[in-house]
Amino acid sequence: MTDAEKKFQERIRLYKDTVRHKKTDRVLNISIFITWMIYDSGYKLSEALTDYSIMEKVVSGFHEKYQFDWYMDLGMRNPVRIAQAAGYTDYIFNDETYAINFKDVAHMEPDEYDDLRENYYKYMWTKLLPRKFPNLNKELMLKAAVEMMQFGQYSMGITKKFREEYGIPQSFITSTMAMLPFETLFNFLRGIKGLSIDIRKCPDKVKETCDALGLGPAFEAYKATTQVGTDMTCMPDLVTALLGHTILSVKQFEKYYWPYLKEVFDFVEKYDKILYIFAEGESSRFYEFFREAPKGHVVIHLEMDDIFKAKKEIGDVVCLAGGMPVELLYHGTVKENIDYAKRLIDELAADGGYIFSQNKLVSYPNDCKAENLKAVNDFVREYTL
Amino acid sequence: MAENNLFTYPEGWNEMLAALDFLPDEAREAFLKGLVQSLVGA
Repeated sequence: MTDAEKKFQERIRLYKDTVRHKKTDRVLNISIFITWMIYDSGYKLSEALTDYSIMEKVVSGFHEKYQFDWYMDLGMRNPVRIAQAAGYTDYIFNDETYAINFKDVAHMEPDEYDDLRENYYKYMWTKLLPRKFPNLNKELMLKAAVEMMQFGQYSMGITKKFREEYGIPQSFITSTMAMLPFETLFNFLRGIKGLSIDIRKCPDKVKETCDALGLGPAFEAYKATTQVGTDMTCMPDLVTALLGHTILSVKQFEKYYWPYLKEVFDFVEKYDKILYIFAEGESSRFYEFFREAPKGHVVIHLEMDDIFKAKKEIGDVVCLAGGMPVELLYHGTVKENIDYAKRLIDELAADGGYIFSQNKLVSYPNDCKAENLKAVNDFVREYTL
Repeated sequence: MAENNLFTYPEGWNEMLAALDFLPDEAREAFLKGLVQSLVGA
């Protein structure tokens, strides 16, 4: 067995034990760094996002320098070349701030819920795509198809390299996604403003559409073929991301969000799987629902929550991830960062159930200083429980 | 708005499937759905 394979198996075992709330000898350290990786590499944002050979150097260099145990993203979060090939021109890469800007336009109209519900792909093909890509034609679709294949080759190649050379399991982004239907409407179709209005003006249409969309094709395909038992070749069996919940009250969450999240909870319990939830924003008003998670089956990566408070309120049921403040990673000293990392591990990981990570997607130059990150990761790797 | 008949259903959809002739027949539908989803999410 190679050294990389030993590390791979050790990381998976550690992950499964941590989620099951077993005491472990060290904590896992997960990266939710995204575009900061490019900044740290010295490449421009526009270079790395449009050249897979550069992106491979970026993510490989990042791992060799900081040595996380697992990655949310290995350069696949923004597959801009596919949309550009289809004629999308609204991306603005800011090589100074490392920000990607684009027009936040809701391409679905509020009176189109029935069309969407009737046939998802028919609606996308006949209404949404021509609206979002006004110049789209067969030639551009074929160019986008070629780009999609090249993106797939990059994804498979970098995943294989990370497993075989570094012993790193496949990333969050390439894991099977249970796409909560409210998130589909929120992220891709109606946007913050549109959906906020819709849940007040046409709540039944929104609810019926959530019911019709379900948890998405990837989840359904997985559900149809999987066996009982967690997969020992990957970290989580399933992933999902919460963002739209940030616009909901508890009552609205119960209606538009909870039934579908509960369905995933029930599935992972029944099939003995592990679900990794990345909860963007602040989620504490929904802890009563998170407490319904089957113990030993769910990780919740909290972004802006007070993770010490979360440990007291839901930490006996779910495994928590996150907690390392990006503000400290940029503004703090090395000592302050190591002290905080030690506090996180001491207070949260004593009985398992905690994965070390950052408290926000790390994107911009002033989100982190390299010397602080290096010191924290060296500390976390060596610190034994 | 794109001025062609490609974005009709099922006629234009099937035309696009046929144009993906570098893929095996049985893989085209899933590939096109994935591509559409990728573009919608861009």
